[in-house]
Amino acid sequence: MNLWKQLTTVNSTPYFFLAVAASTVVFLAVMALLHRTSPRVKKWLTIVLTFAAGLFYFLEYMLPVHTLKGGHEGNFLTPYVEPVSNYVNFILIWTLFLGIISLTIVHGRRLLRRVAGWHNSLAFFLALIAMLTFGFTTRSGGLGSPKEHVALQITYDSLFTGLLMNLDSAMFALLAFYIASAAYRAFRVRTVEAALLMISALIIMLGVVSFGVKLTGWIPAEGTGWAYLRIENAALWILKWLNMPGQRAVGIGVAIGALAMAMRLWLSLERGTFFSKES
Amino acid sequence: MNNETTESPKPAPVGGESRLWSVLMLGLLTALLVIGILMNRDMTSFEPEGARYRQWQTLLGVIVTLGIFSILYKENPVFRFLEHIFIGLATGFSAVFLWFNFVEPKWFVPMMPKTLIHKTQYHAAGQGQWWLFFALLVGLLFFSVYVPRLAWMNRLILGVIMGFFAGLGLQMFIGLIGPQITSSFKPPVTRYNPGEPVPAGMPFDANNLRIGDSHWYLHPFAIVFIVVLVCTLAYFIFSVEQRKGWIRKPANAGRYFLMITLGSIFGTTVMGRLSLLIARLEFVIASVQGWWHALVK
Amino acid sequence: MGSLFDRLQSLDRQWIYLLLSIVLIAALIVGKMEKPVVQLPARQLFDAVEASPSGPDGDKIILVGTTFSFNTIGESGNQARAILRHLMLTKKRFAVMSVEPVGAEIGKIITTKLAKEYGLEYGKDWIYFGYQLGTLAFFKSFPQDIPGTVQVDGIEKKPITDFEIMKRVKTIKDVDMHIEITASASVFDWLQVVQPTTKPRLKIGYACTGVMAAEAYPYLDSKQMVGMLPGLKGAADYEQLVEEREKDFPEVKAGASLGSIPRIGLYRTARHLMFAQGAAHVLIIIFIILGNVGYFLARRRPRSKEAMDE
Repeated sequence: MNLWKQLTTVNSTPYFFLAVAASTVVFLAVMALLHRTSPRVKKWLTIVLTFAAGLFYFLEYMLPVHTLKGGHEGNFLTPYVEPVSNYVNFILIWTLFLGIISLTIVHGRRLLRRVAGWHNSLAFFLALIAMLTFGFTTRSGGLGSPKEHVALQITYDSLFTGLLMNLDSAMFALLAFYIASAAYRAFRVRTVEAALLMISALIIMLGVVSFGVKLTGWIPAEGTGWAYLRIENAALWILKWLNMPGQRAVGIGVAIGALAMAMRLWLSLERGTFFSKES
Repeated sequence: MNNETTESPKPAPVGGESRLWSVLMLGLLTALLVIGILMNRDMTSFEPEGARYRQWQTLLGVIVTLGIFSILYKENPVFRFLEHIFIGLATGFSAVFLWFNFVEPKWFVPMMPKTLIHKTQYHAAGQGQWWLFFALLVGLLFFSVYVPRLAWMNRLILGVIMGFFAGLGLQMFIGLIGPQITSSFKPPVTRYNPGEPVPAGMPFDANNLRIGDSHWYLHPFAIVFIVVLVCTLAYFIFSVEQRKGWIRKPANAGRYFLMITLGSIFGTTVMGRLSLLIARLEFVIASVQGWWHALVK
Repeated sequence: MGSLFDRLQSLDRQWIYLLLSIVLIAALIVGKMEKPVVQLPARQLFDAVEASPSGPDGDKIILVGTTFSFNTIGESGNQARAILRHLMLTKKRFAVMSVEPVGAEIGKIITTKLAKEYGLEYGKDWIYFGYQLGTLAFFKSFPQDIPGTVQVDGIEKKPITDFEIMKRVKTIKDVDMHIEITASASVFDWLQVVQPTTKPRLKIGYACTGVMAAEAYPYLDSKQMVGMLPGLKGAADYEQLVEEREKDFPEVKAGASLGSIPRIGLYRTARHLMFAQGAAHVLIIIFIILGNVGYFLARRRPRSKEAMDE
């Protein structure tokens, strides 16, 4: 097949590389052109693109739905939700590499300058490289002899289940100790508010365990309203009728605030987030 | 005259003493990994449930758990070392996981032409969707944050991403909070019995009290609910000054009700956090008991 | 007394940690299974599962989401075990999936082990969807077309339409209930994106860690959730309810499926662990009271000392 035919055949390797090269050149040219524009143009470009991006999901939700091909309900934007959502996620994934780069810079500096504790930074790099190596080699398949495969699997599983998962669980478990320490050293009933906090916390904590149930087990449960004074019932009542409206009020307040902030971001009314002093 | 200034002895650098520990820990971990591979080298296929492999995994787990718990005594090089190992492993795992579960099946493979990946297991799935390459180019704009002159590109892409999620905001609000608002309208008096389930252990439903012989029912808990909700909402209204006027008392009451809510959160948080520790200690105890039985046998 | 409380006030935190560890270890070693007082949220979830038309004669299934990792295995693992035992005992047809990769694996391990004990047939009585990417695209497309979104099952790697259980399951309307066992906020994706699009509203059960329990009560009240298991207490309550229900199935050996699964760190049942939980709660309460008594005594002492000097 001659080169021209290859270059014009979709899904062929030369066509792919040509398309990628052309799109890279076009992209860089456009960004270079935009870079030469004034800050005012850059600002308005950001505002317009931000608005257009938000408009997609907003319209998809607000426009009336009808039955589409395939029997699903939606409007003309609904078929594009999945590709757009995937595209946004593809772009966001690069922020993970931002995190990796930041960590590499910080620990790399410590390693190269041999500051105190540089050996820990070395441990970080070794762990990172080990997980990447064994993670990619075991997941990709296409390995050598089964014995090598098994050795790599053992190593990867040891890094993941043996080390990472246990480290993760142990780190979380430390929190319980800090709560105990805070309960003793920091939880001081200095005000009426603190007293209310403590009383409700104590009732909840006692209400879920058998010791608390036994404490008030002598209160008759049958035939009288005194049953509400049993600690487990009191705890449930507090959770349902005092905690619940408070949580709802907080939730509504936070949601309204989040919606207002989302609207401000969408309409680019937030100053200082995207715009530098020059604009 | 003594011109020499007396200097207090400089404390030994932390790096000095941790170097030995770090080398020891690194050596220990590497030795454990090598021992583990050697112990299981006769496995023809990977069997995570195999007794020998599980024992070795358990050993790793107990060692790192006790190492992490060593911070409770005092700051020490063992904990710092394990902490850095954890960060490295977690970062590496995130990259591996994202690649194999998202990037590869949904971006890389569809983007590649069949002819380029024909020697791999994915050759059938290659669709040559070259336009997906733009996601890489656009994603690279995030890295412009490192070049001050090009930082505007970072603001551009951040703005677009935030715009997308802001557009979702209304949908999320209506989906989640809409039912919350509608169910907040609880009438204190109704002409019917709502028939809500009576909590176990309760002799009667104190929230549905029939008024005399009439068809009317009083719901005292609904009154409590309305009072708490309105007062707590009043506490969050900042458009009106809370120190004077009609809003002062409800807002003050709202603060007290909020403390009860925070107390509930504290109580359940204590329960949750202790459960994490209980599970971890159970693992250590079960492992030690298993080794003890194996030793005694 | 004053100097004792002074010393207690300035107690090093390491002693507090040591005391907590000793109490918990002792409670775990000597503790026995407790019979909890079942609370309403757990009972509501149990009743909702009982009433679900997803039995062998029904036309719907229950979806179970195991969206947790090893770090919350004590709570979430026990919740998953209790819920799955109930589903298998009452022969409800169900599917297991997760938007968390480790959770998917844990869900598979627990379900496979229990299914063997209950004699369930894969593909007919239950199916495993595996790990699904929890993006907006998934939550938008899953309710509209389940086979098209999931495509292959997570065990045999075959198209899910090949399995008998999926013959009549096409959209979310064929799912009666989704029970999300989670340590994260993944249930809110179902509440925000999936549930509003369903008519009748998709029932959602929530099995959460203790930390997230308090903030879920508004959703129980608004009926967005049909029931909830709050942390280890919820798991213990549900286990108790399942044990009582087992009496209606004499052919099933009581408690046979409560064996440990060491690979995922699941050992004893939630009812066993609640003894340790209770001991720890009592200790924390003692800490709070001691700390405050010491604080008040310390506050009062300088004033009384001044009064004596006058």
